[in-house]
Amino acid sequence: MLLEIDHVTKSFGGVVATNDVSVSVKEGKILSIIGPNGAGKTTLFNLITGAYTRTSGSIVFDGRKIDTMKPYEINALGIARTFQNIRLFKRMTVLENVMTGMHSQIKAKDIEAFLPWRSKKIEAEIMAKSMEALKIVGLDGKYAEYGGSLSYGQQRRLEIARALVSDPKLLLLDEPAAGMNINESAELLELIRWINKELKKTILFIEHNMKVVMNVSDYIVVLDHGSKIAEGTPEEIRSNPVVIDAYLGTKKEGGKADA
Amino acid sequence: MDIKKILKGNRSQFGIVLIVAFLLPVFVSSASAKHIMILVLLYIILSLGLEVALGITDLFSLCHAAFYGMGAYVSALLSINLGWSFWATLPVAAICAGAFGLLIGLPALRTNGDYLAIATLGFGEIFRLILVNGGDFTRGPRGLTGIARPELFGLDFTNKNVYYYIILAVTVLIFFIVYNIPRTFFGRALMAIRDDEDAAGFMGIQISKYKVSAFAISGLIAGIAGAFYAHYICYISPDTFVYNDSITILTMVLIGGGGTVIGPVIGAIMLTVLPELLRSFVEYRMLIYGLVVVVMMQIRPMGILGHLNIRVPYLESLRKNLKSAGKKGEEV
Amino acid sequence: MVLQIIVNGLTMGGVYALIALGYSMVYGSLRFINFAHGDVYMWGACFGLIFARIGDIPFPIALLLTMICTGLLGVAVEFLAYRRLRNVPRVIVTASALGASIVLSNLARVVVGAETYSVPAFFETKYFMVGDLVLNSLQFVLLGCSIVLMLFLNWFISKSKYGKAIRATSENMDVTSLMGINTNKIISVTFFIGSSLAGAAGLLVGIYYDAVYSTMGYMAGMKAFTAAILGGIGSIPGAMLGSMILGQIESFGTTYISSSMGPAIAFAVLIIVLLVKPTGLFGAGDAHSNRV
Repeated sequence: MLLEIDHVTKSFGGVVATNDVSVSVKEGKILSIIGPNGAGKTTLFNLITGAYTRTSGSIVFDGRKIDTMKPYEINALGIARTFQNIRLFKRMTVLENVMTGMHSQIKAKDIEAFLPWRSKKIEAEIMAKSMEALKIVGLDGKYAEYGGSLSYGQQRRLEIARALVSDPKLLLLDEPAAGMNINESAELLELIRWINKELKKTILFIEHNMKVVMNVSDYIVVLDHGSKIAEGTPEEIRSNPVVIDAYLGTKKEGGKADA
Repeated sequence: MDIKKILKGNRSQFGIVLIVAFLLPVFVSSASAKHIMILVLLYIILSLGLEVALGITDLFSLCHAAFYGMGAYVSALLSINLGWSFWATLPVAAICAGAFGLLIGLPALRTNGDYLAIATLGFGEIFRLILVNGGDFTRGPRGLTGIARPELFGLDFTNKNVYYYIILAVTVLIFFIVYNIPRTFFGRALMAIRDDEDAAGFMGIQISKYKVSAFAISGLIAGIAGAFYAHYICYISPDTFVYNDSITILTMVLIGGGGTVIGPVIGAIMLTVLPELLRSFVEYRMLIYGLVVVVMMQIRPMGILGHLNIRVPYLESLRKNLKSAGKKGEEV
Repeated sequence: MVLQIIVNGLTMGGVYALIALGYSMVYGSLRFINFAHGDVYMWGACFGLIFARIGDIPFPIALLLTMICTGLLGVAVEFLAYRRLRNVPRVIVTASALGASIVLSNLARVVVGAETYSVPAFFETKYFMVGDLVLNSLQFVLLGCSIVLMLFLNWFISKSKYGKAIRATSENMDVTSLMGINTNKIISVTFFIGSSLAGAAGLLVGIYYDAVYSTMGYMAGMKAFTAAILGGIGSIPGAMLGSMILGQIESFGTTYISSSMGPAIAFAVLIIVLLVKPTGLFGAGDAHSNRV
C-alpha cells in the first residue's frame, strides 16, 4: 500500500467533515473519490497533504506517518496535488509555475541561488525538467505566457504539469476535468492513463465527471456527508444501490451519468 | 505601451544606464546636485531592499527605515566608540540590520496583510524609541556627530565624486543581486508565497523560512545604505530614520512597480528628484508629493512598470540554452 | 488619586473611541486601514479652530458644523483616493491612504499654519471638586460628548436602516449590492459617520489641550488605531472597549511609570496584541486579512 488512510476523522468545532474514513491506495493504481457535493472529498485531500490535521486516525504514506507533517514536508516525500479552484501563480509565467513545482526536489541550498555559477546550472536543470512536464501536457509552446491567457482546460493541464514536475510517487488531482468539454475530458482521460502507465504514477483523483471516473479508475471510493459509503471496482459501484441513493436529487440517474 | 518594450532589461540597456550614471558627475558641477545624486543612490539601495520583502514576497513592511537606522547606528557607533574603519563596520552593520530583519520576520509569520503592516510599524516605532531613550549608548535625541569619513587608498572623501562612485558601485552590485533573485528558485519561492501562499506550501516551499529570509535580506540591504549614510552625512539622529521614511520608500517601490526590480529603481529616482525640483515651492513640496502618490495609485496602481512581462526574455534565453545544450543536466 | 487617574483614563478613552470607531468601520467594510483617518481627526481640530476664531458661534453649533465638515472631508477622501481601488491588492490602497494622509496634514499646514495654535475659548472653564477629585467642565464636555455620540452610533448601527445596510455591506459587499443596495452610497455614509466622529474628537481635544497643530493626527491616530486592534478591528463594540482599556492603561502608565511613556505604551500594547491575539478581544478581524 502506498497510502493508508486509517480511520481518519476530522472535525471542525462541532462539524464532522470526515467521519472515520479508511482508504487504501495501491501503488501504481488509479483510485478515484466520488460523492455528492460537500461529501468531504477535498477535505480528504487537505488531510493527506497536511493542510488540515486529522482529529483522530492515521495517514501513512510509503511507510511513514505523515499526519503531523507540514505540507512542504509531505510534498518532499512525494505527494503532489492540483486544486479544485485552479490556483496558479498569477504573476508568474506558465514555465515559472512549473519550475516552482519542482521546489522540493532541489537539493541545492538557498544560498546557492546567490552564486551565479551555481544558480545558472540549477536553473538549466529545473528548466529542462519543467519543459518535459509541459510537453507531457502539451503546453510547451505556451511556456512564456501567463496563466490568465490560457483557456480553462489549459490551466488545469498546467496545474497537472506543475504537480508532475516534482516526480511525485502519488498524484492528487482535484476535479481535473471540471469545466472541460467532451474533447478536453477525453484528452484528459488519455493523459491520466498515460501518466499512470508510462510514468508509473499512482493517481488519486476527485471527480464528478462519471465518464472519466468509470473509464479510467481501477478502484472507486464513494463518500457522502463525510463517511465512506461504498468502495469497489467501477462495475461494482455502477450498480451499487447505496451509491445511486446518495446521488438521487441531482441529475444523475442509475449511477451512469455524464457530468 | 512602448515603455514596456524598452524596459525589458537587456544588456545594452543596462550598459547605457551605467554609462550615463558614470558620466553624470562630469556634467553636474554643483555640490547640492551631487548631494542629490548620492541620495538617489542611497534610496535606490533602500528601494531594492524593500522590493525583496514587499515587491517580490508581498510582505507589507513599514519598518524599512528602522533597518536603515540600525545599519547607520551600528556603523557609526563602531566607528566612534571603537575606532573601526568604515569598511570594517560595513559588514557588521549589514549583518546587524539583517538580524533585525530576521527578528521582525519571526512574529511576522503570525500576521498577514494590514496586520503585518501595523506590526512592522510598531517595531519601527519601538526601535526609534529605543534610540531616543538609549541614554549614553545611543546618545539619545541629540544623535551621533563627528562620524569619521571612510578611508580608502588615500582617496579624498571630502570630494562628493568619490562618495558617488563608490556608492554607485555598491548600488550596481546590489541591483544585479536583487535583479537576479526572481530568476532563481529562491526568488520563485518568494513569488509563489506572494501569489498564493497556501499553494506555495503544497509545492514544497517552507513558507516560514522564506518569509523570514526575505525580511532578513531586505534588512541587510537597508543596513548597507545606512552605514554609507552615516559616514557620508557624518551625523545621524533618531529623527533621521522615521516612519515617514518608511512610507517614502514604500511609495517608491509601489509607484515604480513592485516585483519588477527595475520599477523601484525608477521610483526611487523619481521620488527623490521630484521634491528637489520642487525646492522653490518649499511650502507645497510634501503636499505635491502626497498628491503624486495618491494620483499614481489611482491611474497606475500596479506602478509605472506595472505587470511588465519582465522575466520573459530570461525564460526565452533559458529555452535557447536548453535547445543548444541538448544533453542531460547534472543532478541539482 | 486613583479615581483621578481613572477619570483621566475615561476621558482619553472616550476620545480614542470616537476616532477608533472610524478605523473599525472602514476596516469592516473595505478591509484596509485608513491611514488618513488620523488626519481627518486633526482637521476636526482645525475646523474647530476656524469656527472659534470666527467667534460668536455657540459651542454645540460649532461642534455640529465641525462634524459635518469633517464628515464631508472623509467622504471626499474616500471618493478620490479609495473608490477606484476596491479590487486591487490592499497594499496599494494603503499606499493611497498614506498619500492622502500626507496631503491632508500638509494641506492643514498650508491653510492654517505650521505652528501650534491656541483655541479661542467657546465657554469658560469651570473647576469642580468632588471629594478628592478635581474635574473641570472641559472633561465633562469631552466625556459627555463622547458618550452621547457613542450611544447614538450604537443605536444607529443596530436599529436604523442605514445601520443595517452598513453591517450587511461589511459582511459581504458583493451580495449586498446584488440585493439592490447602493453599496457606494453606504460606504460614503460609513466614511461620513466615522469621519464626523473623529472630527468631533479633534474639536474636543483641541479645546481640551488648547493646542491645534497640523501633525496632531499621527499620534492620536496611532493610539486610536491600537485601541481598535485591541478591541478587534472591524468590531464597533470592540473599538469602544479597546479604547476604554487603552485609555486606562495609558493613564496609569503615564502616572506611575513616566509621563513621556504615552507613545511607547500604545505601541507596546499594539505589539503584544498582534503577537498574542491579532484578532483582538472581540475577534472580528481576520489576522490573515489578505486571504480571499
